[in-house]
Amino acid sequence: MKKRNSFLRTMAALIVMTLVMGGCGYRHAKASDLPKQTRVGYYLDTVITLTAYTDQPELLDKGLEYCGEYEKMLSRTVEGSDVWNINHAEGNTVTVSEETAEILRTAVKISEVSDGAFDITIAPVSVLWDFTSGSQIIPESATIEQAARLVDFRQIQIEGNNVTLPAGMMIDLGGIAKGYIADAVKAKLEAAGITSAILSFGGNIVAIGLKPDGSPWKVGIQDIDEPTGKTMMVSLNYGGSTVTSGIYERGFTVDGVTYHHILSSETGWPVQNELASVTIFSDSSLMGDALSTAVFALGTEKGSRLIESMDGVEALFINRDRSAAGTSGLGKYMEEGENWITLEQPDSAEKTEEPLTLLIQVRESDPAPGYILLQSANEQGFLALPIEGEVTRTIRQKLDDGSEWLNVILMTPEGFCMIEADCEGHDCIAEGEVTLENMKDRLLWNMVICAPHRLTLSLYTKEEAIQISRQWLGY
Amino acid sequence: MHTATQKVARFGLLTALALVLGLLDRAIPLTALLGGAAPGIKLGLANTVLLYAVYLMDWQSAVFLMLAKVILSGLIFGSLTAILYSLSGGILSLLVMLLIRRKPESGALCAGILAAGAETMLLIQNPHPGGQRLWIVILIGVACAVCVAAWIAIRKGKIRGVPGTSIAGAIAHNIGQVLAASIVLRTPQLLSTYLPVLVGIGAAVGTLTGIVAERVFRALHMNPDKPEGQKK
Repeated sequence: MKKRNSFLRTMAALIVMTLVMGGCGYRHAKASDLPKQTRVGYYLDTVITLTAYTDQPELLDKGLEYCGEYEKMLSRTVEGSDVWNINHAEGNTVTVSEETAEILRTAVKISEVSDGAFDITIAPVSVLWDFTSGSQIIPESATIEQAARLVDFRQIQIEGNNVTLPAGMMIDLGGIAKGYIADAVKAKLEAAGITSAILSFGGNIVAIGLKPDGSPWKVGIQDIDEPTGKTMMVSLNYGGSTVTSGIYERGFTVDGVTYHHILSSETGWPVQNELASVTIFSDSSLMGDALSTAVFALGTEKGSRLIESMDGVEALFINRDRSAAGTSGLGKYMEEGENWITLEQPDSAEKTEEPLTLLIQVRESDPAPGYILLQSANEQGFLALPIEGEVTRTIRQKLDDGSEWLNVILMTPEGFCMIEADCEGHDCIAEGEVTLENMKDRLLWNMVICAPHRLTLSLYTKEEAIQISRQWLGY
Repeated sequence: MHTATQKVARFGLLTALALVLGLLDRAIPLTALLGGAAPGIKLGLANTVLLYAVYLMDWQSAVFLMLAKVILSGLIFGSLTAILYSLSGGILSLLVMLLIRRKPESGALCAGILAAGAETMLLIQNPHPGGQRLWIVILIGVACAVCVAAWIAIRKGKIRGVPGTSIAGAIAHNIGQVLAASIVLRTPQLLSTYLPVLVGIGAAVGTLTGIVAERVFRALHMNPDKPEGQKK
């Protein structure tokens, strides 16, 4: 039997998640001229470290105060908190704050997409387990079974700020509150004018902007077998959220079995699968927090499928055998030299497709070498050519009968061509490449037309594009 | 002389012929021969059927055949949008052909002038054409010369007027299509950039189909100057 002290664990997490902040360059004169300030507090059973480049350190004190306020609102154990009120309403409707309602709605959404793998109504089960005091008591399996029957997020009714929960059921926002608070503190600091900061809430790391030298923040991911807080891999954070859930965070080991805090909403027992930790990279820490738990419970296969279906979210899976795997877009978030396997997702190519956003205004300061004017049956606007490399963009037009017209273009800094289309004839592909160089010698001049799809793409220089967008905007 | 049964059979035959020739038009990769540069262009062999109708039948029959051809081939090979483009071209083309069938030399003359205009416009846009544009400028130049030659030949009675009507019809067809496309696609810039190209190509392919139609009439011992509608 091995005893693990919870305070030591938290400190370990703190050290591991401590950021490797290299020397500051002078490219971004503004943030790098400011002194680095750090404040540390202890809320939500977690050491919270706020570090920012600012000459107003009192903002960080304010940030810690917010943590305290939110803790009071969201804690299950503080009498009079929104969560306490819901759990003690005996089936009656409770009016909660806007913030709590928002968290509950997000929680239910993640519960739905993860098919209940993440479930905030886990509280009847989680109160049976004690992962923090070091008591190492395994609850009676009959008790767990009974409590697990009370877990079902579908029973939560949320209408506006009114929440109803059947008597006997309980909610616990432990798997999501830290994420919400991290986002909230970040938003307040950003609003106060801080442009470079890294905020650590135990397993949740959120950053504001980049480091003062313009490079991404480095976030260490804890070695799954080293409770003292050694880093196993280094990930990058570009001003978003990095959340890790692992079996080493809170738990104990009895007879070789690790009893950890990620509980199955179905059985009430700690989830036992191939995983040791899951790290979610996303914009919102609220989402990241809930997803890290959900994906852990779902396992690598189902979990990665869930992540691939979401925009702007990536996941890193570290297995108990120390091997690692990641979703298709993970590379951006990992430091060079880190080893992991990219998980094959048969349908990921379509789902990770970037949404097409058309520019209405082209500005003098924009760096693109040229612009494509897209005119379709329903919209018109500009697409900027890439500054370097090749970019493919998919143009989808939804029709009234539910079907879709599809055209795919390939853009380079010089021009573009149509590479795929589901029209008849494929004239648009045969029309070939348009570049700023060759357009005067083309029969279609600067255009590629897919007549059956009512789609015209015309290439313009920046100056011409500015002229056209001025005409649209009427000046 | 004609019974209703004969009339029905004849319409059926002509419609079928138009569809088959339309299929042949699709099969001849004129667009690909020009390096894919000019979408939507076709040889227009199906137009010979309409020329037949214009010269040897009454105008109602010609309109019926045109509508049948456009709608049926649209439904069989293309889409609703395609029908819109070819309907616009078909109506304008047939209108022009019916109007000038008795004065085909004026069709050839107008075509020559339009081709010259198109050539000028292309050269104004790019005085030093290269690649695709160079080829098309040469092609239009030749087409323009052929149109003028046809005008002179028809006036002097050296050849029959069918090619003159055919050229005018082909150009009108292309103008109609570009007009429809520029409205449907909301791209008026098509009129200045692509229309000259299509006018020139229309003059070229119109000459070809006109010669084909003329040969057919001759082989069938039909006199386009004595339409059946008039002989009782």
